[in-house]
Amino acid sequence: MKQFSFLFCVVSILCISLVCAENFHLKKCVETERQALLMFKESGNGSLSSWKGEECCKWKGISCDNLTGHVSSLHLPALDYSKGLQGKLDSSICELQYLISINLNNNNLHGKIPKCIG
Amino acid sequence: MNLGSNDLEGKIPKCLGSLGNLIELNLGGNKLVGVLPSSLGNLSNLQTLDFRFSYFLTAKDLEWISHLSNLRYLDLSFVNLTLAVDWLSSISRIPSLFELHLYKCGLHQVTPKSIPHLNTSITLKSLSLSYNEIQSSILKYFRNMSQLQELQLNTNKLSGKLSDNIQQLCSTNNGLKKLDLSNNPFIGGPLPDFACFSLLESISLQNTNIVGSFPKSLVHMPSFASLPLSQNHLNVVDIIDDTSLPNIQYLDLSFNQLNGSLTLFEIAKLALLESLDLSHNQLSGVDIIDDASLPTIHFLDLSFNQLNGSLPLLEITKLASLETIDLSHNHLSGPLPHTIGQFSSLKKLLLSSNKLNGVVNETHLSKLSQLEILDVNHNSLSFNLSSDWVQPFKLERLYASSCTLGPKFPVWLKQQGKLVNLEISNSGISDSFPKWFWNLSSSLEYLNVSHNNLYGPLPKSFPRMQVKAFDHVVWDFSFNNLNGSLPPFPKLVSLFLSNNMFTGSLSSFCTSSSPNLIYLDLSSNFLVGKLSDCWGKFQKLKVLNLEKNNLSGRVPNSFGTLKQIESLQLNNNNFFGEIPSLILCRNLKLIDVGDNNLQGMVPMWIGHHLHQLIVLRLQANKLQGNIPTSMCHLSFLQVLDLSKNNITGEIPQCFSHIVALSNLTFPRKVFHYISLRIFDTNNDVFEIGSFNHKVVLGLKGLDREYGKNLGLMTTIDLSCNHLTGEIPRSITKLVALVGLNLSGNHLTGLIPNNIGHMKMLESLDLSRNHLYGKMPTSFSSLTFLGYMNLSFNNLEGKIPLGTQLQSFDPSSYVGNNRLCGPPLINLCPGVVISPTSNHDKHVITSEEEDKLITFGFYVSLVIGFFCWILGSLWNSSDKNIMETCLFQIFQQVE
Repeated sequence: MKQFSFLFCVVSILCISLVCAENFHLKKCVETERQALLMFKESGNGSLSSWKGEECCKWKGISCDNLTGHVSSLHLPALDYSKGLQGKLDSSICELQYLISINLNNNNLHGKIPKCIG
Repeated sequence: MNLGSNDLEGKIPKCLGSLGNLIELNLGGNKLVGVLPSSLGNLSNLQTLDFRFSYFLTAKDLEWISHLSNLRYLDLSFVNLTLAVDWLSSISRIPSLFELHLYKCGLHQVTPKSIPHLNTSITLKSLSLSYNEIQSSILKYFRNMSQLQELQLNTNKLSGKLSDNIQQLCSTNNGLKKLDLSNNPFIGGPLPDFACFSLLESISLQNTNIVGSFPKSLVHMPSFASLPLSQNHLNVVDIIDDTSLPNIQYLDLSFNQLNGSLTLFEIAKLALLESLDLSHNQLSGVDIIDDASLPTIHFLDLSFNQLNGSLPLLEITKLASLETIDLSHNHLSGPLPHTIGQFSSLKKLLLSSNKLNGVVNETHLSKLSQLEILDVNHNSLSFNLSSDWVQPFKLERLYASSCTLGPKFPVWLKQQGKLVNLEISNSGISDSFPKWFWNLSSSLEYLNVSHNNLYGPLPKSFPRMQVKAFDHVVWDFSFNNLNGSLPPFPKLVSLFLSNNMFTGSLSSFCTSSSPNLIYLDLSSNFLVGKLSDCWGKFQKLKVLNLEKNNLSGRVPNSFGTLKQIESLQLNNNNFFGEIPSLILCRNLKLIDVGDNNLQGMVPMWIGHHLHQLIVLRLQANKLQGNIPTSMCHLSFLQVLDLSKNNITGEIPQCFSHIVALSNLTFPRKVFHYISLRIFDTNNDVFEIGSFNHKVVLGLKGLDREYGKNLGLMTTIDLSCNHLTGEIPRSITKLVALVGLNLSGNHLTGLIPNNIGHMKMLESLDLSRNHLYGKMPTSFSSLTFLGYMNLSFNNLEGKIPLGTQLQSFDPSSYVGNNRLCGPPLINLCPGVVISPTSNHDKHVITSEEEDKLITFGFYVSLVIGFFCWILGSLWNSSDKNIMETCLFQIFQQVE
């Protein structure tokens, strides 16, 4: 029983420190994810000119988790097929491990669906 | 996850199934291939699954789909489910499905074993199974779907009586609102009343095989509003007294066999009718009974019927809200009734292709303030509108082809500044264009003033166009007497200037014209000079016709870059040099460069690259060399004219490989183009600016222009060249050939024995060669042969008996001194005429009356025989002299 409560204690401390660490990043873009998004931008030549600077959470079509700062949704559907994103669907999006929602409907993307997406 | 409507390729990663929290998955409209992975069955939270328009995806089974317990929306349209025989049982186990679309999935009939009791899927509201191969026995499984509101079963293999099909769907608690059973041609029987669907709003039954008449009590449902029944075999309109459709708003009975005279219905019966389509039937008249009234009708279509007599007397009190009336393509005659002018709501008045005549004046049109479209094309109406009359309407489209608007250019048009389409062709205008005309409307997308007597030049420049879409603009000035040089035209898709008197060169035409051009016809003018090598800019060009001008110089190499071009006509000009390579013009169906001064070899690349070619006309040039065997690769080739060149060598054996000429059932294409299609708000299609290609072909000894029928012609003309050798026997395999002309060459040998196999032959010319031997007896089976010329060969023996062969003029056989038998006068040796029957006696008497001829005939026979002896001693170069000599003797004797 003692062992169990010790373990519980350690886990709790770990969790709290993890949350603190995450809070440290609050509203700030995660660098690896920013790089991944820039890779995604590179792979196409669509209308992603607004994707520059440090704060990727404020880029067009991106929203981040309020708490963790991880990119949670990528929302870039094209209304007009001819004005959509071009190029390959890059496996760089797999770096966005905390994605909850992705909508790239009606674009001009080609290539395979990256296997890592699962 | 929504990655729909992209161009993603490859297979669907199996690992997608590990996204257990996924609520929505949309991968439709991509180019994904392979099998739908069953791991998707792990997505237990999924509510929406959309793979529609995945043309290359298949599913072997759908067992996994029954695990998606939260699925509400499922669309697998176009996914190949042919192998997934469990589709119905699997899908029906999804407990909360609302909407299911399985459009064109190759769904087959389900064997009853694989269907459990379908207690589930009772939540389904909308079910679309269109474009599959579903049969009627499936219907009973839908009975339990008590929530079902919309059921689409169109374009399947449902069969049996309509009433039986309906009965299977009926259940106690049926809330069906929309039912689509259209395009199931094996559904037949009479129209039932749809009594078991109390909430039905519309039922679509187009293109089924429903027969008979309307039932007396069709639909009593309060919400029933729409009944499309087009393309059936309904034949009697019996809805005057007993049929009640109190709430119907939309009734489509087009494409049926309704006949007789239609009596417009009583007010109580169709009080809410808004749209009535009776087009494409055989109705002969419309009666309006006294108390008939359709107070809410705004669309009435009676086009493509047999309506005759004068226009039905339309009373404003009965049809006050009419916006569209279509009576086109009937046999209506007489003048336009004045009552037409009282329909103040009328927007579209469509009367084209009738026999209306008389005068159209202000009283007809004075109250039509809403009028937008007036179509009186192909009538004989005469417009008499004074120039100072203030017109209450601003027309968008006016079609008045074949009506009389001239002889002066109609000044009243000056007020119609909103015109988008104006067709006043063949309207008797004999005038020059007034200056105001060019500033009338900046959005004139379709202008057709052809077939008038308009003269004078076109303006030096046109005002700027402001049209909605530049891919529509068509101008047709053909068949007038316009002159002067060509001005720079605005951005057009089609320009027709043929049969005028335009002069000057085309050197600046490229630079001043729009790259949007698809159809360009400048034929039959007086255009001169060289063509600049700048035609590569017209990458959309499909049809280019420059025939019958005085153009000269080389044919520009840049024609070879026109990848879309289907028809190239440069004939009857003075082009010289070689034909430039057109190997990139793979869509070419018609090449006519005849009657020029083109040199060089007959191009090999034609056969290697232009596999769409149907008409190839290189006649009357200075081409030389052999006929390339590559021609035989042209499997669509129907017209080959290489006549009047300097072509040498033999006729290729392989001509028999040309499928279009050797296969009677080969589908013939018609050279018919429609340069402008306008899609109307009611999905009506206006097809205007249609034209056919015209090509001159020598057939039956005459050069004639073939337009509409060009696509049906099958001819080979190799006449007047220097071809040697024998006629290949394989040529008789060209059983679809209508015309064959090999005259004026140096062909030797026998006429192929099987010539009688070419049963379609209507015209055969083998004259002026060195053919010898007997005429094959199979000649007599050429029953369509209307023209034949075998003259000036060395044929011998008896002309085979056959009504055709004896009906030809003897001149068809002249110059073959050893031919004998009718219709020639010289009898074959050994034939004794016994004057037994009266008929024969008469013939002989009439011959005896002209003893001189008989006598002269024998003399000529003797002389001819001597000549032949002499001729066989002479060498062949002297033969012509001998033939001429013989011919003269023969004529003298006659």
